Amino acid sequence: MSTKKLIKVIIVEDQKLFANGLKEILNKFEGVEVAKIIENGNLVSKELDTLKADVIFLDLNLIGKNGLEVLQEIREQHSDLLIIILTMYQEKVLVEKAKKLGANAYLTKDATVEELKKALFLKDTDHYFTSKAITNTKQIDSKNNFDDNKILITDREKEVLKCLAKGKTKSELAEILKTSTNTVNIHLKNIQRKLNIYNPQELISYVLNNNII
Amino acid sequence: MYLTTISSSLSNKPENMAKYQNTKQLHTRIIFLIAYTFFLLVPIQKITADSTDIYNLQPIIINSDFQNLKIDSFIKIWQTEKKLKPEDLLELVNKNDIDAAPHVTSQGFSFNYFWIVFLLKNESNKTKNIYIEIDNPHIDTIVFYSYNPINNHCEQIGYGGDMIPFYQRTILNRRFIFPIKLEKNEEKHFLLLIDKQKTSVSFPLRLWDQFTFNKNEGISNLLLHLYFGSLLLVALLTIIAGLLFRNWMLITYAIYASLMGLFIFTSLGFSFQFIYPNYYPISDKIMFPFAVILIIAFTEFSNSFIGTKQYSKKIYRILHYIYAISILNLGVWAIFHDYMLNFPGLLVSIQYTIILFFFGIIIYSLIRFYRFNKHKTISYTLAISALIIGFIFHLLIEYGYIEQSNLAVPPIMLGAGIELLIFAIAILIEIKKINDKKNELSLIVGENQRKITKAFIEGSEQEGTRISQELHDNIGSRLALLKNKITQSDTNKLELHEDLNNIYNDVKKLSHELSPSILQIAGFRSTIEQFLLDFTDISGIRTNLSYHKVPKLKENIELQLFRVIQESVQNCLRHSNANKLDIQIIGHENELIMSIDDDGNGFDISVPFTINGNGINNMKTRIESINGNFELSSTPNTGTFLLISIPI
Repeated sequence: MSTKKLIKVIIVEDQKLFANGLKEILNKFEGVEVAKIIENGNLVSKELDTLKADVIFLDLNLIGKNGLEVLQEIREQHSDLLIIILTMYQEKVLVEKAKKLGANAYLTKDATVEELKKALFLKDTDHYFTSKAITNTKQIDSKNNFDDNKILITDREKEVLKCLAKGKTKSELAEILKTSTNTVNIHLKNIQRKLNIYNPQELISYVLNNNII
Repeated sequence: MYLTTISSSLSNKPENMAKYQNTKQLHTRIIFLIAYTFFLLVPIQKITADSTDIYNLQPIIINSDFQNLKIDSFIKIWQTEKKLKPEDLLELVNKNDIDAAPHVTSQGFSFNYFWIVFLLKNESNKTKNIYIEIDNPHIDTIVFYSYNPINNHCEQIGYGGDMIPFYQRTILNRRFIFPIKLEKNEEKHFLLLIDKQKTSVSFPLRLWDQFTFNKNEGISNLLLHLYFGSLLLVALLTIIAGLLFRNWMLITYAIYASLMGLFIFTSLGFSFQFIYPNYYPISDKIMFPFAVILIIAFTEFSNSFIGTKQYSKKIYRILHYIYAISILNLGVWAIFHDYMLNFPGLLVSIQYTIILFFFGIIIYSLIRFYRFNKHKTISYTLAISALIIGFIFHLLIEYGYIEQSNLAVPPIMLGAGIELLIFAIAILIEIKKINDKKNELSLIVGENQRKITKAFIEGSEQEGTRISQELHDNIGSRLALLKNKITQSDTNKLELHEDLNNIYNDVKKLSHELSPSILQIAGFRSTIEQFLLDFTDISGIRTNLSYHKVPKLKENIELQLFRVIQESVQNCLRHSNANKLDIQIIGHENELIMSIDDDGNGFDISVPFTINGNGINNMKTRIESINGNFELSSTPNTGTFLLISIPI
């Protein structure tokens, strides 16, 4: 009988009892061996370098760095590693972010042993596996604009820029927009900061060239 | 004269017979007598022949069951340029120096005086009391005579007209009514003088038995009361509703209906009777400016009803030009009034042209806007058709093409009545539609509100469940384990210490409400983004996030800011009907600036808000607890703008 390659597992979990319990369960699976339990997020990266694990169960709540930070760190260095998030949190923001950062699966701590097995022996690594408690619905975010690519200028800021382009002073602006000079100043500061342009002339020409007003 | 000579010579004849024994003389006398008679009779024939030739008057027969009769076919009319004495006119007629006028009405405008003659004969066997009615309330002066055709001696029976105070009329009625008393078998000639210069002339004449007239008047007045009463009631109700609901369409309808009612009231002659009975110079001048004001009111109402403003700004403006031109026309009339007396038709014709132009534009608009609101355009078309038809008939009568007495009800009254009724129904339907839509929308808002509340409750319950589970499963079991360890003899103090520490840390985490941990783990930006995505999913309100140069903030600051975002976003959904929400978080050298901006209704900040009340105070407290500055500005219809700056 040829020796099948043992699947080496690392558990990153700061709750000792849970970690030990998980270890017991995993070790019972055929061909699976838990190599180490790590509690501190700061130590994971180093341990991975030495241990050469195949699978890592990663909690989000850790001592030191939190799970997502660890995830980001180790995914960069280990592209083949099967990373399974195992946490009590069900929040969408975490599920989505873990997916974005490269996790292969996301299990809640109330998952079943079957789901555990499924995640462990995950063949299709492109498909993001989540346990039942999580609704993995695709989000249509066409209505929203989070300015990664294009810097957004709000409508009020556009008003400010229009008036500036016409050559109005700040106090005139305040009167036109029916607000205080303080607010006008803040608008300007924000615009300058966003675009990284502080010179008024440059600002106007940038804005005109890019059809912002 | 002739007759007396003949009778004397005839009576003298027997006496003379004794005197003149000469038979020859007798024969001569007889021949002379025959010749005399012949010459006498011929002129007499000529007189009577002349009278019937000139007048050719058919006597109007009044018998015992006479009720009423239109006498237009029995009269003769003459026109003179100067105002003569009635006797002089009759003389002119006798001399055949004047031609008869062909029609009862004068087409177009006239500067002449009208003389009307007719002959009545009472063939019943009792005295008859008759009224002659001239059914035109707008006559300057009218004088009624009876005359003797033999000597043209005239006796004035009645006097009336717009130029004298109302209560000086012979019979108090908005039309001109004069009494005629005929003894049995009496025959009388009558002459009527009508002075109605500078306007179109039509004077339908009718004879009434007195009792029949009074009965008819009673019924007619009742109907008129009902008509004007309903109009007034509708106008009152609509103006109150219009003011209550701030609905311009209702207000313009009320104004238009009142003006239209008043216009008809005046054109029927009631205004002179009730409103200004002594101010006779007014009646001449009132109709034209009134008509202009009416047109302006109707244009405004049409604009509002059809809703031209939202479909075509151009047409909306063109209709406003009508106001300008009408007012200009009115101005010309007011200033050059005396000069324009020579051209009375001109300004009125201009106004009629404006009206036609107006209707042309309206028809064009109706065709264009048909597809937007079918019911509205159909009802409007029906309504103004009624009015236009009435108006056309009115014009035809005014210019003399149709006899007014052919129609039972003044056409403008009928047309206007139908038109106002159709408009009233259409407006009610419109209002019902608006109301239904409002109800529908508020149902949707209520539904969304429920969904959010439900989600919120579910979320917090889930949270609560998890916390309690966490406490039970995790903390509880570990404490149990710890308890076990302590009771055992070989306990390691260090191990116990570590266990306790861990439990303490977890309890601390738990007590922070799980969310802050999530904020910490997921990150400030990601949490906000996810929150906004979820929000857009539920509410449909677009959200934009601008996040620049934000340093890593203290846990508490991030938490408070996040809570403020949650609160203001919920407020936006609940109250503002916004379409878009912009959130900006921008880091500067010494401060962080966060702004939340929506394009909804806004609200009046000066009013102490009981709806948002706690929420906004809450936000303020949170920001102040992190030493920040909180500024909320809002004006109705420009949305709400929240500006927060935190020192960092």
